[in-house]
Amino acid sequence: MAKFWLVTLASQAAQDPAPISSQVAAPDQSGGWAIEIIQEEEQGEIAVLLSKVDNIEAPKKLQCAVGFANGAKASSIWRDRGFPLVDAIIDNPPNAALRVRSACFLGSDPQIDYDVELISISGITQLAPSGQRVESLDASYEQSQEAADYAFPATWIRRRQVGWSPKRSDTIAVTPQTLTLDVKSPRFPELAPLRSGNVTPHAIWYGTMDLPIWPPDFPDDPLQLVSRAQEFGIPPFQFDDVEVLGFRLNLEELGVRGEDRGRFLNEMIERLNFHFEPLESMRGPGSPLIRNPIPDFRYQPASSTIMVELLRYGKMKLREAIPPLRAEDYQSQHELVVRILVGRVDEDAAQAHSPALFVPAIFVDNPWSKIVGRSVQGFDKWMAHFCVLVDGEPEPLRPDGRLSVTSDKPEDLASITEIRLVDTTGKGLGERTILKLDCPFDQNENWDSFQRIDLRLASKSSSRVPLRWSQDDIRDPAFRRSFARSVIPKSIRTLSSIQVSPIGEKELLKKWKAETTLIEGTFIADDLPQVVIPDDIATLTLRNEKTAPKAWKSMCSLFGIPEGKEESISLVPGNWFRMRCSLELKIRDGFH
Amino acid sequence: MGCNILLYGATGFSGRLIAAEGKVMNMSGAQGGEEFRMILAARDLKNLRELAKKHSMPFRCFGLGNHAQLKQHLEDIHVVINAAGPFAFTAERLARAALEVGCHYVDINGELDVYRKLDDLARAAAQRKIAMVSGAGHVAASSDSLLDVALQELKANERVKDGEVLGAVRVAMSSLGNFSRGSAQTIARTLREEVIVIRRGPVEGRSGEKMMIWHEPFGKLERTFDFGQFSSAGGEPRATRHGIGSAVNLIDTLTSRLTVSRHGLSSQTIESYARTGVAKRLAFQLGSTFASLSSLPLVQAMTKMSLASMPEGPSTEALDQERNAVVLEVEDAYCKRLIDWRWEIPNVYQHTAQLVVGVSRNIANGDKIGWVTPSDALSLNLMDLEEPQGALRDTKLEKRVG
Repeated sequence: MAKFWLVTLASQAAQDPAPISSQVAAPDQSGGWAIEIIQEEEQGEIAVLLSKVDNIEAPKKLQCAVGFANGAKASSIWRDRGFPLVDAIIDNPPNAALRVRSACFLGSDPQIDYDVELISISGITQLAPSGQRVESLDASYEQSQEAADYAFPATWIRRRQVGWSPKRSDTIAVTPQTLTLDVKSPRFPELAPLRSGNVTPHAIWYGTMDLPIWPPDFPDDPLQLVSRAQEFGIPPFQFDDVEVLGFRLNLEELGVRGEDRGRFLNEMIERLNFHFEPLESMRGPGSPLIRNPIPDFRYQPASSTIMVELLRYGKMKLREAIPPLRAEDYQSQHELVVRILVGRVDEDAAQAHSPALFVPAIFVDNPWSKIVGRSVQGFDKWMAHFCVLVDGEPEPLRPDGRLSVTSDKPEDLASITEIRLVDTTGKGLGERTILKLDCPFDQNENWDSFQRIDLRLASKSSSRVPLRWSQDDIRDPAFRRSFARSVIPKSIRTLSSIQVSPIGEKELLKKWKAETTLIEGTFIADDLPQVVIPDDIATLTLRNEKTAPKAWKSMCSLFGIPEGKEESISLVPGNWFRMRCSLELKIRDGFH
Repeated sequence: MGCNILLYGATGFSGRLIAAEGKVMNMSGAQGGEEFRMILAARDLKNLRELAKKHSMPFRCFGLGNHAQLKQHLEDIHVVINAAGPFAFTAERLARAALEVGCHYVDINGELDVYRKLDDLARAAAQRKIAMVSGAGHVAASSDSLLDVALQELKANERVKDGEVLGAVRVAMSSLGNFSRGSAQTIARTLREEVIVIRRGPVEGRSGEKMMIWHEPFGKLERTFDFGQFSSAGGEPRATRHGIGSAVNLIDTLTSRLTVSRHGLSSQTIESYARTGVAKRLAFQLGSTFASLSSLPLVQAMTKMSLASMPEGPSTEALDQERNAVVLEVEDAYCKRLIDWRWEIPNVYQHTAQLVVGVSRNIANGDKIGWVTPSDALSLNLMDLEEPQGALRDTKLEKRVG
């Protein structure tokens, strides 16, 4: 049960009749805009939704154009369900203004600002307790769920209309009183209709609400095909100043039983084999009869070495300007990623082919990266804190690696000691640690002795050059010879990536079964990456956090770590490396 | 407005026959206002213009190298027929372009590798609500249609039940025909040490069994088939009753697996055979033995040269005289013969033209999307085979068992 406050504003009250984002058209004469605050006090979670409303006196249909939420998991779930939510710090102290802070591009500054106070509204949740009880307020949300188009994932998005009807009760209508808005005007995300100043709403309600449960209403409307420009970020992307700490977890060397290796690795990549589930006709009037081929191939793990990588992207940019974003605009992030080398094995062939990297688990600290990854690129990204120790206590870094906006320079990537899942954005560190790291960088003399990799030497089996995968990591006969030859040197310079879109809950994925598709991308290093092989032993402590993504838990299970427990893995020199590079990410678009 | 059917590879040997069949089936522009309109396409402008003039059909001259241009040519097309072999060089490009613009794709491909590459695009085809039909010519539409009708009959007569595992499905061709240059190139490309067959086997990591692709050494599987007697031009039957068939790499094996599966059945084995005389058996054996050498550049160049010197196709007289037969044998799990049917057909090129035009018309008007087998596209029943007309004209069904 959550509390809600719903405020409607005449469209004239807005600064500009232009839509907030291209997903939502401007309201018509009888309509206007609405601000709804939804607060779950028990979890300390709060969401602020800015929506178009059909009728400002008796709202029936709301269409959220942009929203902010501080519950990390809730934000992802509701975004997958069709609400364009952005992770934000939301403060709603008693007797003070409600404040929303989030990442945005402001003015001409090319760097994203990570915690700008975007919106401040005084008095919206401090309404007079008296008012008139309302029998029912059936204001429901009509949203669009999104997924990458199966043919042109870099160009188009598919949208499915979806209706969510929260059950509102104990609703009180109060006499509108003047609210004081303080709103920034970022280039992105656009908040055009809101303006700073005093505004008198047309109507205000508050009460309690049961959040809607699955399934929502799915109108019969066909899926819309819209330009990906309507979502943030169009590939190709350019990643500059990328630093990687790579850890090779060779399951065989680490004593994982062969039986467990096969079972858990296959479990971690099982989504890649979605083609084994045949498409079925809806068999409604006029619906076509779908014929499926008999699947004669499957993706399999090619190696029992898993890569766990900690990355810092110094500058993540679009290759081309997509207004309002410019080519020089950039943002940063930390990323913890698990990579599994997979190949395609035909049912009648002894040799695998089409090597690619599949990422079953990925954690980031940049909300916009999470949004693009989940919405259209098939990466199941979760928000995490990347912490360094300050006076013996873990402190989260900003996505640009600094401890605070006033810090002179970023902290060393290797100084990150802990990665924790975000519970509530802006409410301090949660307890959900997934990984602890000990990379002894400050005692290491050669820590900064970067060298360019000689790929010819590196691909020799005796090489100590820290390739992601070496000949010895690929034991299965189906993956040796030409498969291994093609993948080993490439894995440093070029990473073929394969993911499955869309991302979301089980029920949601069922609904999108016919649109499920592989997203194939290529990370290409601009130049030969520079690497360092540290001389010391690195230690990773994996924690099988109960609420972590399934793939992370499967990986922990591989090492026999029970739920809620942790275990350390020591990596000798050669099994971990430091790398610097710049990368371009291209997404395969179309069929040619 | 009618459906536009674009025939790519119209100036090739098979393409010309398909264009002529299009005219027979009222798809020529001169006949006007018809349900279907055939548009001819190829790279060779001179021959294309002549052919288009002969059949009063519009034409478009383009190659497959320019993807954007290719898509542009497919924009207003409902079905594209690919008759341009070798299909390893044309099928994927044309199919992908068809997927992008959203037009149905039909080909007369006989190359197994190409078939298996194309079926990877099937899910995308279903998502884009288009149909893809590969092997809509004599290979593999003939055997597939025969099998489809046979299974319909077995189920209708309750001789097999849903979920039943058949013992064997075998299709055999009395001949692969007098080779055209294109067909010879296809055969040269598909020569390999092993033959693809279907065997029922356990699924890795899962319970139960399924029909899986399996390989047998070339020459291991040989059987005697009763190919029946053909009427000669003079009315005297030719003495050609029994013959030895060698298992060969035909996509009929894969379409049969889909058709068996579509009928809710399974089979312990599915194999495709072609009748081979002593010389052909020897040639097949030698070809497969030295198949690995065929990847050498010198051998490839020599093969290409010798194939290039072949005539474009058999003469009209040879085609008119040629009769072929497709034999279908279906056995139950106890090796009891449930079906032994023989389907006499005209020469394989004419039959290909008839079938592919029939498939294309049905696909354009049908409601099937995704990876559609030729028989599924044609949707035939026993009466269609017993009283043949249209795409099946000049054929004759002989039901020997079942």
